[in-house]
Amino acid sequence: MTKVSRAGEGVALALSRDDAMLVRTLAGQVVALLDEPDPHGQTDPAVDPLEEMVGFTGEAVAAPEDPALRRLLPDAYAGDDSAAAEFRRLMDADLRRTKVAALRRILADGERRQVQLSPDDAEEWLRGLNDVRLVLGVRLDVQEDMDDLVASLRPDDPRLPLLYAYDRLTRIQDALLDALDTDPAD
Amino acid sequence: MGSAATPTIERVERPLDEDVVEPDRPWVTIVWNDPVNLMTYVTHVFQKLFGYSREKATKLMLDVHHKGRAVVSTGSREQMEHDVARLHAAGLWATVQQD
Repeated sequence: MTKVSRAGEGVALALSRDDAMLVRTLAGQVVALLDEPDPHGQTDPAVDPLEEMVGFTGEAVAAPEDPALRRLLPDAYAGDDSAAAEFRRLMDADLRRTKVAALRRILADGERRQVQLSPDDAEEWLRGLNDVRLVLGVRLDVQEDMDDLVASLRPDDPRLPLLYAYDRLTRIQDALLDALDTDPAD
Repeated sequence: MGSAATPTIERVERPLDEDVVEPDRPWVTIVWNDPVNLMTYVTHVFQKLFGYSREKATKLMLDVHHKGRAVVSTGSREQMEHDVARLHAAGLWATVQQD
């Protein structure tokens, strides 16, 4: 059983073996989806280190075609393609980096399984879990009424493991929110 | 500053629905409903990012949920783009537009 409890200003998180494996596997897959090069890996010699540092290459960044990735990196303007493109050109690298950092925290903490999260750490967990849920939600075509989706699946439906994963992540995120938003004086 | 004139506020008679040309129409940040984000998470993000009270954040979350969208902040274009960037980092579906 995964346990989540308030600890001071932050949260004590103790992941079950199964949940730890699940969150690490999925967080790793979303990191791959965001395609951020590993900061400890090889750097591309063609990339100007200064431009790389500020995340600005000056070149247009196309909106992702994968609907799941597009949900993680949405247009900032509805109905104004040029403003949306300009915003993406300036912000895309930074947004990917922020998301990957949160997912890497889940990867690292998931390996340890028992961790004390500061309030900021817990925010990264919330955002990372949420991004994984967003990707699963697009893949599963989750709509407002989850019961309809669950009822429509046959026992051999290949989406069942994804739905199980989605449900586990929802419960962990919910427990984290519950621990964070509860005033310890209550 | 000029001489100490007492500011006065005068009543202006004008129908409320009259079109007024406003060159400095404010920009707004809109959050759109989506079926994945938990209601508790959306409320939490509004409190965290904007410093809103639990009550105000909950009301905005419910507006998003029931009406499909809600204006969550108002200001300059630059401020709104900053807000949208932070909302995207939190996984909320947000856009900037002029009010």
